[in-house]
Amino acid sequence: MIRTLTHCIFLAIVTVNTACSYTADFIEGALTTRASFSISARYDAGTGVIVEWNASPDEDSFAGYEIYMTEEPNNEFAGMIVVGACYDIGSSSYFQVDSNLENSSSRSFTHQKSTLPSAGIYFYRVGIIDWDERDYDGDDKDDKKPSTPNKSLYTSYTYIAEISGSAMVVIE
Amino acid sequence: MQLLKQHIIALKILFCICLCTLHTSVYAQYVYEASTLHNAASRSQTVQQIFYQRWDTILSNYLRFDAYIQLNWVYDFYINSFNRGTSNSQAVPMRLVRTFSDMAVLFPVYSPDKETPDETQPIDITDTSPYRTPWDNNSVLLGFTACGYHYGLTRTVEINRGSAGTESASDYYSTQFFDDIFAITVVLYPYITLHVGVVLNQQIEPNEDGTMNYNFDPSTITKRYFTSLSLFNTLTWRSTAAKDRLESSDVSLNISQLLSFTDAIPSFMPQITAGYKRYQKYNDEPYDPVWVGTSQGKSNTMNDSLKQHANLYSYYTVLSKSFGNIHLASSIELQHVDNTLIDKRYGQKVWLPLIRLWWIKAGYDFLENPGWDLILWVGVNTFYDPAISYHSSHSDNDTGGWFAIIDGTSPYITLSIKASYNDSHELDKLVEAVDKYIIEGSASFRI
Repeated sequence: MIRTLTHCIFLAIVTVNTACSYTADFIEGALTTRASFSISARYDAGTGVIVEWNASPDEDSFAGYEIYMTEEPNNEFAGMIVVGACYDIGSSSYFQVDSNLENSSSRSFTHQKSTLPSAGIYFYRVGIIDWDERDYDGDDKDDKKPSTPNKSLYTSYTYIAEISGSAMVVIE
Repeated sequence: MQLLKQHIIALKILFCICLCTLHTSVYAQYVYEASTLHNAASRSQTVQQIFYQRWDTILSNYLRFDAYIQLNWVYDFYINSFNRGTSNSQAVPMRLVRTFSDMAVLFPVYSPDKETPDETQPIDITDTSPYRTPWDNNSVLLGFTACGYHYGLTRTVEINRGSAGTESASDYYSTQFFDDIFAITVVLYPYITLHVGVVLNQQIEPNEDGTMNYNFDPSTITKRYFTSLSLFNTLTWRSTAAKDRLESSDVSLNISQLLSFTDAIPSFMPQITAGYKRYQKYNDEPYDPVWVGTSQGKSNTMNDSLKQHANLYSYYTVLSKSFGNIHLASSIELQHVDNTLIDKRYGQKVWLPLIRLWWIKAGYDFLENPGWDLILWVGVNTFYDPAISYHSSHSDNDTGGWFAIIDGTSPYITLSIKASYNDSHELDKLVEAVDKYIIEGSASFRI
């Protein structure tokens, strides 16, 4: 009887801790890449826009950070375009390659003044990019990342694993 | 598995149809402020409804463990939102996300000497449970449940990654609602089933940047208590109480089960359940579409002590019958209210029609293996609520709708996909979902 009751209490504790409204929301958030961490961004007239974050990417599958900004001024709800990455993937004139973004310990990015768009209010985000889990080396076993990453693999086999909330910047 | 493979194309076609309906240009673009989501009493009803559905499944299939998750997306909510870029408000398309997770365990704390299994226990038509044995008669079972529902608006953000493609992300927008149930279940099999639990309602405001911190703050939580007592799986009484009043009560009678105690049920007779429900639905709250009693001297900022309440009484019956692989079910619900309701917009009295809702559905099971089901359901319905014209371009307060469901059941895993438009089940949970497409997926693991 005591053993049964102990069993009951144990199961009750496990049940309470694994099934609640937060759990289902967490799962849905992961499916839809919900904004999960905050960043800061500020405009410096002499330098450009400095974006800073504090994130903990999964080292095993980490591919790099990407920086996004709204594609038009003065519209918080506009779509976003990539303006910073460790490979040359951007097509806009605001894009810049920054090899530091390949390093998981990087915590800031400077959007150089020379590549900034016209004056206005813009919104920035930081994306944590992961590699797809697949067979990169042809040994019939899935790998978490390629041993020699390159731009071609990056554009084909990466995805946004996490993304930050937006940070507003007034560019003058 | 062979049969499953044979029907995989049909599944794909239905899924494509569901997706296509979401991308047609007939979206309703009615702009409104999110409101009824703030109704914790209504949300408590919803989370309890799913709680009871899970326990019906657990008990009718003799499960010891049930883990269940449901994701529900309502598309095309146009919400007046403040744009920090323009410093103006504008209508922005949002998606209402509703997620539910549940975990329940049930195990014997007392088992008498083994007796003949009870043959009268009703069987879920979606699962004949050949993989599990019934509990011994006179067993005492103890169960625990933790489940929770999250509601909230999210905004989709398109991210152009240049040559790496385009992806999307989502932000929380506006208040997020978290409703949790913690319950204990005691069963004296097969005579008595008792559920006692608490519903915790919580609201969290997301950050301005679209993220949210899960701040568990007990001081912001409101509590409701519920009980359910079922005798011989025939007569069931359910109630929910807030701190100062009984919010709802529901009594139902499983007529087929009752008749089976005395006579053999004729083969042509469907399963019949009839019930009565009282729900304090209208409370002069800002999100209500009507004033109770009178509109004189009332406003959305009035003191709680001045608010009047009206009970909605409903009388419902549910019929179901199977003919081989074909399953049919229907329901009708009648209504009346015990106080005068005044439309907030026009100041005129609201006359509730006798019929609140009806639905009818038909399903076909593509599998014939015991314990395995692949049922395609289609159904139509009507629904009345005085808030329908508030949240849509309807000139009146009733609407018709449809739903399609694919239910896949195996002994240990179930999967379900549902698409609907103005489905009465959904509108009953959240009337703002009127004229919006809804997609829902759910899965369970059970032992």
